[in-house]
Amino acid sequence: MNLARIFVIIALITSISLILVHQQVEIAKVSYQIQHQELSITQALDQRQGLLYNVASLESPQNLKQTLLLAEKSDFSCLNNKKTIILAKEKSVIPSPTELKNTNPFSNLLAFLSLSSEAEANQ
Amino acid sequence: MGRLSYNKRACLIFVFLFGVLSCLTVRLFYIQLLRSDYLCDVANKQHSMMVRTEPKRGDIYDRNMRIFATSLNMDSVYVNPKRIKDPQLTSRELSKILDMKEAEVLRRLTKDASFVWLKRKTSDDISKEITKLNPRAFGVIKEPKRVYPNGELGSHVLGFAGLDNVGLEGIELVYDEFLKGQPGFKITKRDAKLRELVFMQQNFVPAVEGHNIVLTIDEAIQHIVETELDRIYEDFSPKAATIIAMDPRNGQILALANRPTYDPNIFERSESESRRNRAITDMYEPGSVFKVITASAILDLDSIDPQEKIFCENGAYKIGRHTLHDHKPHGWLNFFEIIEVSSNIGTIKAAQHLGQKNLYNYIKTYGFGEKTGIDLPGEAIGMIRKPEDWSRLSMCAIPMGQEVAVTALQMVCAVSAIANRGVMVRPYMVDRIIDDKGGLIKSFKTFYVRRVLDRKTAIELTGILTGVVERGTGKNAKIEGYPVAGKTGTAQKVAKDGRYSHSKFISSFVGFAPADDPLISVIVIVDEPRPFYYASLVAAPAFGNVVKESIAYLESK
Repeated sequence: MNLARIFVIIALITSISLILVHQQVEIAKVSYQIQHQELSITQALDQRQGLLYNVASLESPQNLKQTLLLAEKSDFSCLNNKKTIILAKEKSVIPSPTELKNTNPFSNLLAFLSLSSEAEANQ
Repeated sequence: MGRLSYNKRACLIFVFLFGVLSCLTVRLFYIQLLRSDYLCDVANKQHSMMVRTEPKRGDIYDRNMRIFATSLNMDSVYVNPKRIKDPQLTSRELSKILDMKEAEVLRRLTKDASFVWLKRKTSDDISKEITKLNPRAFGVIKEPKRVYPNGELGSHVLGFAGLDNVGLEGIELVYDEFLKGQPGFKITKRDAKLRELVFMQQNFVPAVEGHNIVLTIDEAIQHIVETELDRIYEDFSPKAATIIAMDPRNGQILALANRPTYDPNIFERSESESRRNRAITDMYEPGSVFKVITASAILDLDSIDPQEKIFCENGAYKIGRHTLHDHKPHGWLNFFEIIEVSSNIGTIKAAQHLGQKNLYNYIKTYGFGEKTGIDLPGEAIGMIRKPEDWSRLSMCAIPMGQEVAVTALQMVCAVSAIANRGVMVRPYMVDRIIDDKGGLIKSFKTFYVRRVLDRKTAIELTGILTGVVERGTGKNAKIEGYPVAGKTGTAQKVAKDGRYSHSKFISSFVGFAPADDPLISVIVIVDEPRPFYYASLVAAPAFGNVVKESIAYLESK
């Protein structure tokens, strides 16, 4: 076997080995990325679980009672047969006809062109 | 000379190199052959790692799948004290963040160890703040923490799980085997930075998640019950109070609550008195509510004609050296009226026709003196002595609920049997066990224990109990639109000297509604209410409120 052939074989083996090592390094890098993503998913799931818990806590009757019924300034009250619900306490809650005017210029133009007048309820 | 010295030097170098090579060969031989096992072992330990994967503890839901208990992954912060340069300064900073005593923090920071827990299962913000101080010294491990979103609601049913997620009380304890799941593990390699090399995983056994439990409890009814208990506490400042609501048709417990109570999220801060599930662990002399049992025995055995009038001695009846009193004087009453007005004298006189053995047999048939079999820990059996151990006065005490001790659950089960037309059912708390995908693992069905009295007798007795609420002592339990059957009981407590106290009472009411087609049976027990103690004023209104709101809710579903 001449020297050149030996060099070629050595070079070939070295190249294959390098490719193999490179592959392993790349696999390791990908595995780190997967791990990182897995961690993110786990964290997101944990956060979701935490938020669901918060929602459940807020929705719990105990919490609703404490925050709504027992709050000093709250005028919330549970309905029973001796109580009535006042839907709108203040006048300002009901928008005036002027507030109801359409602000869209295109619609206003169409309204200008129409012959019919807008019906308004007398207060 | 020069030539000779050259050969000599070459020889010396050769000998030296040969010597070195020989040493290396020997060393190599030693390492590769003689020490190979040990060194392989050390290398494996360094590269390999076994990661234990903890299962998620199962959740607990109410019957409408509203969450009652779940687990959250929380941050547990540890410290490597060897990497803390100034423990004094660090402990000062940490004590502010952790809201802990500085001395305690310092004690942990100066321990001779490389791993010390600083704070377990704490919030995200706190752990971030701590690790920011010295990322090399502090580390975070995620640990699951048991949490109860409803706080105190249903705490005596749920119980709680400890720091290591093992059930210690209530459902958490009884169903721990189902809830805890099975831990898994994986054996894998790690790099120089101790990071896991996923692709070199050698063995992986996944954790089996804990199963979820669906209770028979209804969150809404539980809330109704607990709100009523709070009102009782506010109005009568009792020592303790209990309410149980049950579906008499199938034995499902719809609500169970006691006062004093506790928050299972911070159970370690509560007193053991508050954690006790009085509904099943505490025995009490039932007093007049026990007349229901006596009456059922009398009617079932046709011991007397219910229409026959019995003289109630105008409120005072001398038996030997003792005088028995009624809370109001009564003259001639038939048996229905006796129960309606809760006359002790009338009940005792009627019970004399029964005989000791018959009365005892009926008491036992109702399950007194034995566990109901509910799936909660610590159930008491109550106390009923055998007839041969009864005194001459026992037949004057037991028929009106003295000399016997029962639990609240036993009493509500007995009355549920009457509501269920004479058939007794076993009470239970868990409807089904499901896996994390909703698949059924186990379901619990109604267990019919036995028939305790004839159907006709049960209907007749229901009529009497309806009369108690319509015309008798239980008027305050009346609700609009529904017939209610029930019985009041104001029992004197036994004082330290062994005599019946005249200042300490247990006020109770047990019954069901609607009387003609029962949906719910409820017991209310109030221990030492003040200033009023009569059951008609304390327990009956509470019963009425619970039943009224619960029926409205059940019928709206």
